[in-house]
Amino acid sequence: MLRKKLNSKRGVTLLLALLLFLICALVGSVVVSAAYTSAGRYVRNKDSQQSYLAVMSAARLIEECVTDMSYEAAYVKIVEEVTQPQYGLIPLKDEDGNNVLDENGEIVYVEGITGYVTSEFVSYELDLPNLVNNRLFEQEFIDKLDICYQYHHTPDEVYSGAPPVDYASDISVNSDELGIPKVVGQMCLSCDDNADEGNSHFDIVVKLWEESGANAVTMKFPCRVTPTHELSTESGDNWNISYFTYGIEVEWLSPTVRKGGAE
Amino acid sequence: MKRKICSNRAETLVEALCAVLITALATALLAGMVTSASRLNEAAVNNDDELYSSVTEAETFSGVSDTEREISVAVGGKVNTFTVDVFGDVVTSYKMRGG
Repeated sequence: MLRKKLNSKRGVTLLLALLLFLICALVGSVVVSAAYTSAGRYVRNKDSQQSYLAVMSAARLIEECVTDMSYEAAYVKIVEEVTQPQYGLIPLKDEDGNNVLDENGEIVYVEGITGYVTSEFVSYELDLPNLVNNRLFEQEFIDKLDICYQYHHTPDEVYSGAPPVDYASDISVNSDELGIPKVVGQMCLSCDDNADEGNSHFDIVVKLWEESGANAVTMKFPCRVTPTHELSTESGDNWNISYFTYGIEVEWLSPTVRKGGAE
Repeated sequence: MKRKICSNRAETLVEALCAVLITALATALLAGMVTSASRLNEAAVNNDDELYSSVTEAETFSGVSDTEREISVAVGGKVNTFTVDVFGDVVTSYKMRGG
C-alpha cells in the first residue's frame, strides 16, 4: 500500500511546487539573515570605534595637561656672617704713630678695637612654589610631589623626615554632552623607592579605560629632573648674607603609551 | 504517441492551479527576500563608508563637527572643565581647543 503510494505519480506537481516553495523560503531566509548579520557587525564596529576614540581623546587631553606642567622646588641654605669689633686696651699713639708715654715712662693704654670676630649663622628654608601650568591635579597631588622632593632630594646635611610617596587617584572623563562613552581611570606617581637612577620617582602613570572596561590604555610620563644651583648675596657694613639655593626643576616628557591596563 | 494524446490521466485543474499559485508565491518570496537583502547590503556598504570616513576624520582631527563643547575631568576631588573641539560625525573624537 505504502510502496504503491510512494511510486504513484498522481499529485506530484503539487508536491514539486511545495518543494520549490520550501527551497525558496530556505534560500531567501539564508540571504536575509546574512544581510542582517552584516548590518549588526556595522553597529558593533561603530560602538567599538567610538569606545576607542573616547579613550584616545581622553588620553590626549591628559597628555597635553601633563606635558605642559613643570614643578620646581628648592632648599635655600642661608649663611649669615656678622663681623663685630672686639674691644680691649691698646697703646695710645701720637700723630707720628709712636706710643705715648706717661710721666713714669710707661705706655699709656686706652680702650679701643683690638680685632674683629666673625660669627656665622646657618639656617635652611624650604621653597615649594606651586605646580606651574597645573590644569588637572588636586592639591593633594602637589603635596605628594613636595614630599617626594623632600624625600629624594634633601641635601645630606638637612634632616628630612618625609616618608616615601604613595599616591594614587581616580580619574573620570565625563563627555556625556558629546554622546561619547565615559572614560575612567587611575593615576599615580610611580612611587618606586629604589628608583634613584634617573629620578624616576617623579614619573606619572595614567591608566584609562572605557567605563565598560574596553579599550584600556596606559601612559607613562617619564620625568626630566634638572638640578639648579644658585648663589646670591646681600651685604652691609659688618654683615653678609649668602643664599645657596639647591633646587630641582621637573618636567614631564611625552608619554610611552601601551594598550591594556584596565583594572 | 497516440496513446499518450488520447490518455485521460492528468492532474485535476485545482491541483494544477494550486501548483501554479504555490510556485508563484515561492518565486515572489525569494525575489522579495533577495531585494531586501540587497538593500540591506547596500545600506551596510554605505554605512561602512561613512564610518570609515568618520573614523579618519576623528583620528586625524580634521572635519570639525562641533566647537566649544565642554568636557569635565575629575582627578580625585578636583573637577576641571575643558573646552574642546569635536571631530567626526558618525563616531567622534575631541581635542582641547587650541591644543
